[in-house]
Amino acid sequence: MKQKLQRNVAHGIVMFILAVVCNQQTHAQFSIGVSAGYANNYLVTNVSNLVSTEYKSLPGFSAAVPMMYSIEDWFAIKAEPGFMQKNYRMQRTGFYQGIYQDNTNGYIQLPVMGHFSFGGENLRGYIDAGGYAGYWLTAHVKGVMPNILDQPAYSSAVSNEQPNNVFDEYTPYSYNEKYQFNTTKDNRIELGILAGAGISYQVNDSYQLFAQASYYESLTDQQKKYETGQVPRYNQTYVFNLGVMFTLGSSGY
Amino acid sequence: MKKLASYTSKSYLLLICAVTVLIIVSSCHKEISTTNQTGSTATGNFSQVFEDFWTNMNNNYVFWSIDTTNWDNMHTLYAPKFASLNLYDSADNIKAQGYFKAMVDGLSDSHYTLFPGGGYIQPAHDRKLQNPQFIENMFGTAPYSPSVDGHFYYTNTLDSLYLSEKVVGVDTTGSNKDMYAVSGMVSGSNILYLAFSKFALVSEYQGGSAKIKAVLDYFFNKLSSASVTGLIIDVRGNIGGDVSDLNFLVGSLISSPLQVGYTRSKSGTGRLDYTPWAPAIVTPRAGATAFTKPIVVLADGESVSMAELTTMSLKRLSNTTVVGDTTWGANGPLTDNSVFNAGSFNFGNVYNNIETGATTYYGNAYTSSTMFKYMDDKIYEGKGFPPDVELKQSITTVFLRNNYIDDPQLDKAISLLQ
Repeated sequence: MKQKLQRNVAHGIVMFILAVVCNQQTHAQFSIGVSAGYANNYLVTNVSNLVSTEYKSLPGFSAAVPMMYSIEDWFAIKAEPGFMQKNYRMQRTGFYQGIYQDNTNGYIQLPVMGHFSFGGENLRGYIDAGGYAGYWLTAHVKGVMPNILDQPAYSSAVSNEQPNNVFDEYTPYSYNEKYQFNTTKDNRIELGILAGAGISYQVNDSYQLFAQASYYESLTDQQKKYETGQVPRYNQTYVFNLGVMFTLGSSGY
Repeated sequence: MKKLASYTSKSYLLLICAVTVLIIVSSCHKEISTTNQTGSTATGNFSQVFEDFWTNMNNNYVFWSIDTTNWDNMHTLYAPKFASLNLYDSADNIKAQGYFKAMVDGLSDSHYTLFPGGGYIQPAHDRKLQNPQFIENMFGTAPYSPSVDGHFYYTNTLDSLYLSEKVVGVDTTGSNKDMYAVSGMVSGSNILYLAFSKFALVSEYQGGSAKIKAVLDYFFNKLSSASVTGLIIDVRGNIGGDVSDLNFLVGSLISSPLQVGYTRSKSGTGRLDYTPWAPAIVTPRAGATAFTKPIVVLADGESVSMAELTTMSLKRLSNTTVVGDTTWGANGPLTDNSVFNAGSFNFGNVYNNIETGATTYYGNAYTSSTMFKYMDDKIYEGKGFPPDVELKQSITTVFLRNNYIDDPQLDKAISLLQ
């Protein structure tokens, strides 16, 4: 059902693009640029079975090389190949406060979208909608955990002091290391959808500046299907980018 | 102007189409079901008890990365079997014990003990029962009765023949009842000997049996004596215990922190969600000087848990030789489940007493909270730590005849130190 729906949607998008390209090429124009900005990612999952445990969003960065093929002055096909961090934090609360792990994940991805613009000659607003494919390229973990086999030196003093926190009972172990991908567990291919909105300013015939906010939602689990009853994990990323586009040429005919 | 209006309406139309498509596609997420914390799932029938057990094992067991048990297959095989049982039928409960045993029989965790419905299943112990030597040690007859667990090295008798000077302590009360410790000098030598039946040294030393404290005081005093030429630490038949004893005992033989391996636990719900490896470190006692004379550790197949960690820790010292047999194979330290969200758990919440607040569970699983990896990057869980000098022996070879003891492993240890 899901595959059929996705196939129909993809088919519709392709037909729409072909129709627009074939019938209305009077404004065809290609531009390329660079953009960079801030990405805030949430991991959508369920850890309600874990005691005093929650996931939080973490900031990261994104950089891309947007390419745009304008078909009409209000419509273009846009691709934004680039790199995006999708970071998140796992943290413990209450008695276990202080235990955490920051996951820094780098994805290379190729978003392809329809670009709908409106407004005046120089200052225009636009809305993007499309899909993306990504590859989980890098992963790094940094955090603190209790170290069960690193206890304080033996002391002859007998203490009856109450612990206020887990680290009154265990020595903390701080780590900051590359994450070793697990080929059984980790799904490094990510497919999803995106939507965005922004404004652009045409400085002259050659280049324009833009600012945009985008939302990326993964439709694929961050894990392969490797166990019965698996709890899925999805990335949801909000991105704020600034960039510049250069017009390379037009084919007005 | 007309063209512009046309573009604008097309733009809006396409935008609406695009947003609609996005909304439809975004609904393709797989539903994320809710899950309950360990022991909180209400269970009214065997099918629910099984699901709670299976899920808790899936989430809390820390050895899935090295285990050969196919846990998904266990679900496929046993879900229908449990579904056909009645929780309140005694015959069905006996059947259920058999199913649980079959499910956990191959688990690597050699601490693992399952208590389902009042039953008792310990896979590592059951595997030991396949070993004739273990059975002989458990049930063989000898002048001195072996313990029920095959721990036959009661040095109360052994030391009388091997030790010229000795202090013996047995705790006769309290939580460590029947724990013994003995230390002394091997006859005709300057070799210091220490043996004890479980790791509760700190608790005994700080407020337990005065007799055991006297044994430990004797040992530590002798340890600093220049006349001592070698040391035997005998953890054969030692059932393990408190991890704080590592710094207490091994920490008295080193002068700087000693890394002996790594531990890791679970970092999430998934079967293969793991924390990074944390270094396992023995910290020296304040003012301790390194014991640089030769050390022999005596260990055997009944050296369990902390007895194994102590053996492995001492083996990290260049002056240590391990003599005896491969240890039990239960190396993963344990703590409360909530510390790592892993390890021991209750399952099958079958009754809540609203007057007392007490919860009755169908069962409990006792299992490690962390996995231990030695400094050689090997995981000895389920396998045991091998000796440098292997000398297998059984109760009949040790207790040769009435009032005469020959202990080939101890003989070997002494010969290595002389």
